[in-house]
Amino acid sequence: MSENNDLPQLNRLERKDESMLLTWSNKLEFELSYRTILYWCPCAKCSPLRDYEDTASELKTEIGKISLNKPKVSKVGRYALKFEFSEGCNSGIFTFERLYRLCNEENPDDGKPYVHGAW
Amino acid sequence: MSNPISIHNPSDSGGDSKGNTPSAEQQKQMEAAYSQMKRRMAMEKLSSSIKHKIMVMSGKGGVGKSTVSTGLALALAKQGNKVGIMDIDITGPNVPKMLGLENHRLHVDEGRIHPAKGPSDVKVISMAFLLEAEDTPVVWRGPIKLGAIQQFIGDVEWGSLDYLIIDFPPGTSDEPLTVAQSLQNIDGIVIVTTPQEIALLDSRKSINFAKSLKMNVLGIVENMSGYSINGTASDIDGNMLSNTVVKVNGPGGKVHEVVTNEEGQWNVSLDIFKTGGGEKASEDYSVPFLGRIPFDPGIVRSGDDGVHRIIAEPEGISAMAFSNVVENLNDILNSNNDNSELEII
Repeated sequence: MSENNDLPQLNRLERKDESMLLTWSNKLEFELSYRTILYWCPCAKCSPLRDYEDTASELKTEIGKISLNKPKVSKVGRYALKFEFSEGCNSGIFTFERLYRLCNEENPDDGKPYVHGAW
Repeated sequence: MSNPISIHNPSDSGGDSKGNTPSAEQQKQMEAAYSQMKRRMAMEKLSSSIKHKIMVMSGKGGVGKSTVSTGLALALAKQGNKVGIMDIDITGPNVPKMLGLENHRLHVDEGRIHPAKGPSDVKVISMAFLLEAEDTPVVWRGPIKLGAIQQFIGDVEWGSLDYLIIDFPPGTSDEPLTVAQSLQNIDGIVIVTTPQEIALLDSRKSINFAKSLKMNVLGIVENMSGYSINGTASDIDGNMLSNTVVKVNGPGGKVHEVVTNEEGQWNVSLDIFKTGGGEKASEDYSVPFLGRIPFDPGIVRSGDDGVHRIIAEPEGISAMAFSNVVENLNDILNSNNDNSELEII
């Protein structure tokens, strides 16, 4: 099993109007839009939508229509953050690793389809 | 086992007239203290020899904790991890039966208990191994149960493990408290629930229990989540129909539409219970949702037969569901930086 010991700590999260500024312990700073967060929501409702081109495109369109506000950000245990937007899905719990991958423009799902229960 | 301690304490009462030899009572007390000390040392050693310790709990009975515990253990072992499972359900131990280890007896060597080895070399310790017959009830009061649990932790030769899964009886009473206090660096608790919304109430107890012990809730697993049925579609001549819509009437008058694949096969999940309890609990209490385990009659059969579903059907729906849960669990365990300094503006 591989352990991600190289993941830097998230030191600072500054909420702006349409995006947030994330500063990591390795001194790197990234701007992540709220629409990116909403699109890559890891919850069981949003994840399967990204498995297929048509539903992924619909998801993107729906998120595009949302009028953005600064989300409420709360820590989940020691490993994740939760974002509460006034519109859009609020179910997803974003691990720090997921956030770091999004900052680096990586696919946080590794391109694997979401397995909903068993399929 | 012989005790190497000798006592020379002339000020103590009892013993011989010169005060050089302890009385039988003193000797007994010293032996108890010595074995307690050895056990404590062994418990401390466990913290470093076992990488991840995961408690599996639920607020109520019958939700499939042992099924989930054994499933997690086997799914982790299938990935090549060294895994142990400690069945702390003293009065209703059923992990050995699920892993085909019924009638197994434990091997004790130099005062150390060696766990049984199940499928995929999963090490197992359970009260069931100590019972004369499987229908023998264990009628123990709290302190005796706690002593047994401490023995399971401190006197068992677990060796080095990647994961130790600890399966508890339902509720939040003595057993989890004892383990939480005896075993250091527990990663957290996996809460097992069922899809009904009423399960929320029970999950809340386990979440609050974790909070009161300042332990992490690693996530919620929704068991018995949907009943999967499958089939094939063909025309009257027996030719398989691909990309064909099949309508299935589900519970509550819900019609499910599924499309067949290239081989004409289809698969649909019916919500035989109300759905979403686990997910709602995770949302309401801000804890991760690890995934769903479908209602699979094969799990019941395999539990009884002693060949776990994951072993019998490694590519089956249950095995895939467990693999998904384990992946999510690993993601959480591996996010091991605590970001306690995080400043949110």
